[in-house]
Amino acid sequence: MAQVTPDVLANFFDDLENDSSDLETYAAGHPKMADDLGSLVEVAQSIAPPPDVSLDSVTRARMRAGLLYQMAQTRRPAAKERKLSIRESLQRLVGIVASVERIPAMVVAAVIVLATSFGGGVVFAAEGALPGDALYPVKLSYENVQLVLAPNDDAKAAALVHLAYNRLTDLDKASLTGRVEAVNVAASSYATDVSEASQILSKPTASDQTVTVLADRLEMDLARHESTIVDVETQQPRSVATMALQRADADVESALALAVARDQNLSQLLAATSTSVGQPAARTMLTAASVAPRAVVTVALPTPGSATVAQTGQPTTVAAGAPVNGGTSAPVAATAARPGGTSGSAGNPKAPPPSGSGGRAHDNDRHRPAVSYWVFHRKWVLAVPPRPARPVTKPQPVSNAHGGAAAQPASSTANQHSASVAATPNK
Amino acid sequence: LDKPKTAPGPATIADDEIAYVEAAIQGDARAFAALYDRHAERVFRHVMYRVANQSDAEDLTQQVFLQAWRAIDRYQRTGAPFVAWLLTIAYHIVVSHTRRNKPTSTLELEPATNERWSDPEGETMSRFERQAVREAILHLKPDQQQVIIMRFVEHFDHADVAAALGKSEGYVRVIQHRALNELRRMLVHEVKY
Repeated sequence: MAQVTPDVLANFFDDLENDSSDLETYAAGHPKMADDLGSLVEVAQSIAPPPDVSLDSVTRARMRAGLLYQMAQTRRPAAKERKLSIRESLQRLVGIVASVERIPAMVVAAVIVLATSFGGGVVFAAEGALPGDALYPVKLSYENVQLVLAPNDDAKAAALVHLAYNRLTDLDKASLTGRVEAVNVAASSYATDVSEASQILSKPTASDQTVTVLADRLEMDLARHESTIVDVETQQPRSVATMALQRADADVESALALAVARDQNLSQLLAATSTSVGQPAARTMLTAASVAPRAVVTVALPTPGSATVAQTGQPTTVAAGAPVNGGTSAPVAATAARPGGTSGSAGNPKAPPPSGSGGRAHDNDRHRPAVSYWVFHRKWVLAVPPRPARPVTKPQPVSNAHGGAAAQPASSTANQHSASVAATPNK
Repeated sequence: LDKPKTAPGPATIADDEIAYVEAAIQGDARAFAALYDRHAERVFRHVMYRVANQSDAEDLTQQVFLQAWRAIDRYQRTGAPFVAWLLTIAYHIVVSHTRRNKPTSTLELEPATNERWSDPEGETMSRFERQAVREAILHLKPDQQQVIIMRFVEHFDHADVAAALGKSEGYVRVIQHRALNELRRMLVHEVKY
């Protein structure tokens, strides 16, 4: 039996829909393909239309009213309006100043360049630049410093994820201002950053925590820019940007699949560690980001030399295994942490309240990672806290409000872990 | 197998619909509301086919139209029927939704009988079998799923599907062929998901 070709199949469907042929006639013209054709047509026939469901009048009216309200709140992008590039803006500025003050344009330009070159002026000016703008390379160079300074793969992956977020922001702006070429460049750069990050995350050397946190972060960033991405994919389906976004989407999926596997590893590790300090099996909070969209959960490793990545300006530790709403219970770190730690983190008032029965409670000052990379106002800062010598203490069981026993942290326990939740900065 | 009993032909844009679209592009919310009135039901049914959850389908339908309102000034570039364009947006939004929300309890959908083809056996096709076909479609690769749904669930012709997806007609033909082969494989072997 010969296989029917895509064209023969499509032509048959066309003829069938135009009522100009039937299967018998068509099969007679393609005897070798008849069986295969009949079989595929049978499959097509088995596909039923959508379910016979409808919106009742009340629901329909409610949805209509809701849509009109949202439309009124939605800013329609001004597609025709093009933002001036930095170069055009500077040329315009030079022209205006030179014409008003009767000063040679070259002199004015030199003064402007000098004035903006010092004190980080150029970097500041480049912050809002988009692909195609004169200062865009300056912006990229400045951002890439964070990547160059990353001391290991975990930090490099974190920096790449951060850069990927910046490119999504560029994509947003470029899409809103209708700059198609900038959209393509931003999307391609985003895909490249995501690809490199996911490659690092796929290495066996990447820690479970890094994979889980960063994969979650990539997914959250995609979700936040969903409308722009859908917009680009819908409006420019064959563009460079769409293909790049689809590649990036696949990479994020891969990273998430890795994270699921690593999450299981980490759950087992946390459970084992919790048991070892006399606490009920701790529940990893690594999926809390899906519960609280503005939160990123990180696990800090106090093990010397390890790196922890957090996305926050105000890190807040969270105890795994402690009650969610146990306001009267003493907050207890998930596992061993340093009592009286030197962490200066205050509780984050903007952090979303825990939901569900995840067993979380805030614990502000009980833990301080050995080395961590924090993001303060979108900048990566390497923080190496002092390592005070502390006596070894045995874990003290503490009852929580739900009657479960939790352990007070022990400073010297090996493989100390603590889950920390930090609210992401408002973008 | 006989020829189709009721072949509706390619979807076309009614004249007044073009006027509504033009007005909506200029920012006329009432014109867009008229487009909503015309196509909300179809978009809702399409989304229901994919998510099988009434509440989600209502929310996603709302999102489809809101997204369409934001992007309508670029609609004409595709040249596809307006409703095909809406369904393309619906596809992306549903994909995004299902990726972020694992399927929970869903309704046992009762697909309508297939009136497009004369299918005597279809009359006796059990609800279970129709459900199995739907399940199989939803487990196709995304591009195959989109083409199959646009072609055989929504009944757009090759040219309209190609225009809506921004692909060539050749692409649609090839994907259709692959998808039907894959569907056949899944149904014959009763693949479990």
